[in-house]
Amino acid sequence: MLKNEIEEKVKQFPTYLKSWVKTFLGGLTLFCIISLIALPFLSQNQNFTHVFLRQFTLAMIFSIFAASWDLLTGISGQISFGHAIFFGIAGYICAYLISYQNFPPWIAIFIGAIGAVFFGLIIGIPCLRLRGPYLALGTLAFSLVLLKLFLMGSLSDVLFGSEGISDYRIQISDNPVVEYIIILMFMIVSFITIIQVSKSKFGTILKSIRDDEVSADASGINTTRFKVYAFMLSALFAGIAGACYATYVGAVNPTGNFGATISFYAILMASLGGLTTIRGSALGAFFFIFLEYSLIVAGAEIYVNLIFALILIVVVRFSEHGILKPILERIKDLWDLLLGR
Amino acid sequence: MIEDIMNMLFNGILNGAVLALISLGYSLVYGVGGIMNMAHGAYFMLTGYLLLWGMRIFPGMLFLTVIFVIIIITIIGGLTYILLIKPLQDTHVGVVLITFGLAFLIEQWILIVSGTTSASINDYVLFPGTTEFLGYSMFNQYIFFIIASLVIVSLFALFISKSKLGKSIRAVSQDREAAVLMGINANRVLLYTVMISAFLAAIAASLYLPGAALTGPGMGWTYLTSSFAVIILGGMGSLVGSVVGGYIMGFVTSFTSIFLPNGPSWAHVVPLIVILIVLIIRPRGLFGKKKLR
Amino acid sequence: MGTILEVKNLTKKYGGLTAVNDFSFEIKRGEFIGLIGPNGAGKTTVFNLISGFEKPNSGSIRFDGMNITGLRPYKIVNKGIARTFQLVRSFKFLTLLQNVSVACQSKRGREASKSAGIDAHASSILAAVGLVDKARIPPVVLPHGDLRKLQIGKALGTNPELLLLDEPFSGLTHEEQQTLTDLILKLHDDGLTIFMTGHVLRELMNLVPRVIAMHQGKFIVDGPPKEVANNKIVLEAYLGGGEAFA
Repeated sequence: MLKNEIEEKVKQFPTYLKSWVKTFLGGLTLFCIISLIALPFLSQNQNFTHVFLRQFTLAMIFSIFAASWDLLTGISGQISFGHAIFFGIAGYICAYLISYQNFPPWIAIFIGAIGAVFFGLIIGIPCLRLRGPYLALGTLAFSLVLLKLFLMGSLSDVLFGSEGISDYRIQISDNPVVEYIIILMFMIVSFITIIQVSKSKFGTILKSIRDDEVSADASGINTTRFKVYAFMLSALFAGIAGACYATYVGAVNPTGNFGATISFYAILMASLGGLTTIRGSALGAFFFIFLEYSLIVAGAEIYVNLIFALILIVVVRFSEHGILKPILERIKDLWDLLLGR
Repeated sequence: MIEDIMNMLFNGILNGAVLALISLGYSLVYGVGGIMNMAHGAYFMLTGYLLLWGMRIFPGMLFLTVIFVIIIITIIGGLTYILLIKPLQDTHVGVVLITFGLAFLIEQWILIVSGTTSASINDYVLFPGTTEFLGYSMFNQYIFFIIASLVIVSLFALFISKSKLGKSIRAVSQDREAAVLMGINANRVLLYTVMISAFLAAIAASLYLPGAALTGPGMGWTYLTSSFAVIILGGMGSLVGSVVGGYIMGFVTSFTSIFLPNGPSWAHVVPLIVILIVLIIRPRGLFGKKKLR
Repeated sequence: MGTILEVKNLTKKYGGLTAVNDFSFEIKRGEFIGLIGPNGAGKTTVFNLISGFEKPNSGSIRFDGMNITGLRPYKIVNKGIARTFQLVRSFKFLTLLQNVSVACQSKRGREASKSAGIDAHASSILAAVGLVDKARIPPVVLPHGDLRKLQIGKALGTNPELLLLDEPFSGLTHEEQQTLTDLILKLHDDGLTIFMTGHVLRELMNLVPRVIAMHQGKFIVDGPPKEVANNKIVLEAYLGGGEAFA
């Protein structure tokens, strides 16, 4: 069934692409992608490539992470407050393989993401007995314990203690432009996959479980199995983001990769952009990273999280769908006006 | 050895008294409104810091400051419900996100004002000094706290079963629609419930924390997850369950930290292991009647 | 005309309360049966037990010769029993077509839609229940009568052999009841075995040829509607429960 669906999609792809680009959303997305591809070739300035471009790379990594959270929470309705688990595990595996086993980075990223999927499986199964807000706290508890295990002095021989792993070789490339392009590819592929999954028949089943689990059960759907799939799929993309982040920083440590703050970032970014929109996660992540960057430049680093907590409260309280939809509507109005529609 | 055992028993009761008070309110709010208040741990943490600052501003007026802080936290609880929870209470995700945002906001605010370093409020105990019992010396403040906790829990049970508001709370938690049909204002009952839960957390913090330490603004999350473990163990929405569960968890934690090798660091992991075991063996907890929602 | 559903000595207790007490009956393939009783008689509990949403304390349920007692709901659906709920349930952020297509992706639903494809099969079901012109809108904007039809559509998506309808007429206007009755009769004519509850006997009287009556969790009588309506215990149960027939 799935195979036929994919084959059909591939066959119709050229016509689909043509009509998609002509739509407002398609045109805008294409514009964003082209701008992102063109960006690194705008300037050879050291400051530009090593500072400004790096912020874009970071924003793209967190876009993938926030989108993976949206897939689990927005699309499938399984609230996760412990997404740092997958992010951190993949980062640690990736860093360990590069630093201790001399793996090439891209294989390490791949294996790291697979490790995250495995964790999605073993965390997903006990957590499935929890629903709604209880799942949120259950996953939060899981991530806190993992953090404490990694911080524990007595386990530092196995889990590297509070220092973590640090090695100059943990990087995709020492050229920030190459790094940028590779992360951009990861981001494009991840977003296309997540958006297509959410639009597919499989995605419809996930959404049905979110809307009414009892009713999905009565429709003959094995809800447990689909929820585990959702956990694993979300963990895959969170893992890709986490492994990329490890290479971006060049080091991993418990608070930086497993900290509750990391999970909170995903929640902040995705809710800011708008739950279930997927694309909103990217908007939220870019907004977040660049606001943070400007605050750091302005010397107000300490207020970053405070400001974001305030923004989250205001957005959730007054705009159920985040900021992406309202912004898109405004731009579309302008667009229609310009085209004289 | 005897000292270890005494130490374990005393700390077990002490932890149990703290967890029982925090979880009682937490569980009550869930039982009545199906609301998961992520800011509950932040109330506890905020009480400690308000006490610290209050005592610096008004030295020598300890008793008044404690009462004042408890009142402030209760009001914050009420405001949380009116401003943030009530408009969103139809969506579980919304309530969780917004109360989480509040907890994060409080944490970050304290972080900016006070930094990550831990602070001691040992000077702000209402009952200084120690009492010896079988060669084991116990902090007077803690003895008072344990007794106070037992009294408060009993008064609370009396309140829930006898008072008019208590009866309304029970009615709403059993069948909200029926309660509304009988003329009970469910929103007002919920408001009072959230305020009571904040009040209980504030009492626990203002009596317990002066003997311990403020380990940083992140401690709210630790207490949030511990009380979550307690209500999973005791059963969602069961008041007996949260008290008994609180004491069981208190003893397990103190046993782990005193008798196991590397105990203190493993003690942090205990709540999770409890959650996991309960979820796998008996998902509705020890005293839970309802299934998980 | 073999037996399709066989319920034996079914008992369900909640604490001290016995909601269903030693309840037994049989349904033959192709039958159209009503289950009546005053509010709180245990009808919905019987449905919940058959469809797996609750587990019985004792007793057995056999469907098509297979023991399905205590199976999980989706497994029972995949054996061929679909149900609707008294309180309308739907996937409120999905379109009607998607609502039905979820059911078409269950095990039996996939087999049924193999030739046509899932979307085409789902829209043919929407056409059958009379909602095809609303396929692209979400259920939140529908009137109550359409939601009842959607429920039946979702149940049909799983390609059932036995359809359980829990209070399908409650909260409907007279006209809505009429169209729904026509729909249910048509489904029965197409060969579906239908078992439905109702607490107003008159609604069922002209519709079903056979009625089972229950009161306080116990079996009372089984027979043609006229006979059941004149049964002494049934009369007492309704009058005692403060409910008239009308």
